[in-house]
Amino acid sequence: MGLEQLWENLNLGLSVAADPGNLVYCFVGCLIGTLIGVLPGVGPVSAIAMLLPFTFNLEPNGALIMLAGIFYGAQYGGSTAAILLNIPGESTSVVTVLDGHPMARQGRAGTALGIAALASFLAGCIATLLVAFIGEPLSRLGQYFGPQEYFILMFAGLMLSAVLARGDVFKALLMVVAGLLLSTVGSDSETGLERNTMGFASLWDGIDFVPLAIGMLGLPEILLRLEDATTNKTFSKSIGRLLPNVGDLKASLFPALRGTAIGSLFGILPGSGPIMAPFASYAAEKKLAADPDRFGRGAIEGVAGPEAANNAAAQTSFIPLLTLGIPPNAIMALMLGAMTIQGIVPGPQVMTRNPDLFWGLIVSMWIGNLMLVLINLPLIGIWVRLLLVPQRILLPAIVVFCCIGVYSVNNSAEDVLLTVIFGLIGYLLVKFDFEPAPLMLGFVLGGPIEEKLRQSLILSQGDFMTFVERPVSGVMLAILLLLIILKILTGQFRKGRKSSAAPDV
Amino acid sequence: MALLGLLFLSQSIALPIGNWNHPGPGALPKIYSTCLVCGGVFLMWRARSHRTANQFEFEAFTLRNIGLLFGAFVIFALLIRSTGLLLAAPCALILAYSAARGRSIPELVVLVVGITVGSALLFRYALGLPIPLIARPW
Repeated sequence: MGLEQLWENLNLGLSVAADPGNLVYCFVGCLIGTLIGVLPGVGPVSAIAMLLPFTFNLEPNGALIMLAGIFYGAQYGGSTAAILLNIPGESTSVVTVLDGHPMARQGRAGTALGIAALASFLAGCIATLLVAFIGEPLSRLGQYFGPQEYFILMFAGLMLSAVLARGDVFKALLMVVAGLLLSTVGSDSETGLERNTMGFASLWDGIDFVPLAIGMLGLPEILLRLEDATTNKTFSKSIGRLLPNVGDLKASLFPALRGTAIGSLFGILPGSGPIMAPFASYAAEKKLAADPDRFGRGAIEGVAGPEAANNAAAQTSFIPLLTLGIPPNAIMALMLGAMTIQGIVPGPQVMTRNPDLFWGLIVSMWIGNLMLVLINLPLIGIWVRLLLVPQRILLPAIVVFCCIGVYSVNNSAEDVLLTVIFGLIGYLLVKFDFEPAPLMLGFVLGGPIEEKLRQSLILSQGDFMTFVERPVSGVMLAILLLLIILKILTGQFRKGRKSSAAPDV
Repeated sequence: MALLGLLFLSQSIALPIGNWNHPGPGALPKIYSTCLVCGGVFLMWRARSHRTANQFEFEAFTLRNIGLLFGAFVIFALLIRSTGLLLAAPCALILAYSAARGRSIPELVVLVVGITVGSALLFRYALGLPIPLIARPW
């Protein structure tokens, strides 16, 4: 793709993203995302799951622009609670706590918040350009893929999402299988035979995405928040000046650029890219620092690098979804669900059939990043006050919104009851240290993976070597195998979630 | 996990497996269910051999929370069609609020009025969702 073509595409995207309606959706998404990020409680996965039903009435561009805004907005907002309260608003802000909060205790909260927002903005801009540059070539490549390549890509994605995820790998794999199994409920797409419906006619069309997503992701989080008594800490010191000085900017520039590079890479990988990227960035900064002892005591590089990394990863995780139709993580699985419900078939054809959506979303990411700097810095006082809203007010309101959201999809009270069943299962699973995210990924990819496997086997007349013999699928299998071996060799295969998430990096 | 696998295995037992050239509708459900059963059994065995790890007990507070929170969803589901949003939402709110710590009646009243009116305006009028505000049970 030439630069001229890219320029034309970006212009098309600008015309979509700058549409007044879409600007409003983008702003609302960024605002909700920041709110979710700031408030230690509901994370972006469950928030997007809970807000999905309300986007069904919107036109596809606006709906996806808003949902994307929620995702990357949460990355920005997550740093506020991390820096001011020593509580990460998001799992992606865990590392920001290490140096951000000590900076706040030294009276440099404003500088930390300013650097976090500016590093996130820089990363967002660069990563958005990366999505624009890589998007089209990868999408074209995807058009040459046969069912074998798609099957292996999805299979590898599921395996890697479990292997590279935090927590018990075996449990994550079982959750993927459970998700795949749930995806088989309903009529078989080829023969029309009823499968696993337990005799319920309402399950003939399969399990609805929204009750499952809200039940598995949203309700357990609300219950865990109710149990958590450590919320609503207050910040008593003054925030100080928001604009960093020249020295702070100089010290932060290269860590932010390195964080962007690390985050961009991690975002594309299946698994918890945006969660792992800040850890990798922090570790890199600590190793590169002349005086590593400063880390953990308010080193500005420890804020700039990880904040850039989590935002870059959030943006680049759209690449596999938009170009190949394969979600690399649970949030992208929800986005895929939203696309499907909006009647958009995810995959390489999105760029040719819905170029306005593809390029509009990319340009909206840049506009959204700009909005987020404006939302986060001058309005910091409002966010600080919002941190004081008690969970006892917030959570019942969320419960009612969830009820209305689930009900409104099909005007079905049964869906609300189904959400309760999934919520109970989801809560028990979380209590037994099962991550629900791999289940959602398995559920979303279950249908396509079965379809591609069947097509591959029909084409190869039952020969499984077809997956090894074709170059792309063979290489993907080799990479998958290599990563699993590496994981075993590094002794992390059976490490628990807590040990791998420990901030000792 | 093992139970879930067994349940689905029993459901898919009659479905045709097909062959490698053309897998039938029962092939993958049976493979997935078997994996879940085996995985679940392995986890049970692992849990028995590591008895101290990762055990949790339901406290009274947890059970009460679960009951109230899920009760809020159930009451909403039961009331929304027969009475409408203006009654279903406050009932769900009261139950969900009861699950939280540090409650007060005036706060609950403000919350009920604010959220109910806000939801009606936002969802029924601003977003145009076809949710009945007041339904007749007959």
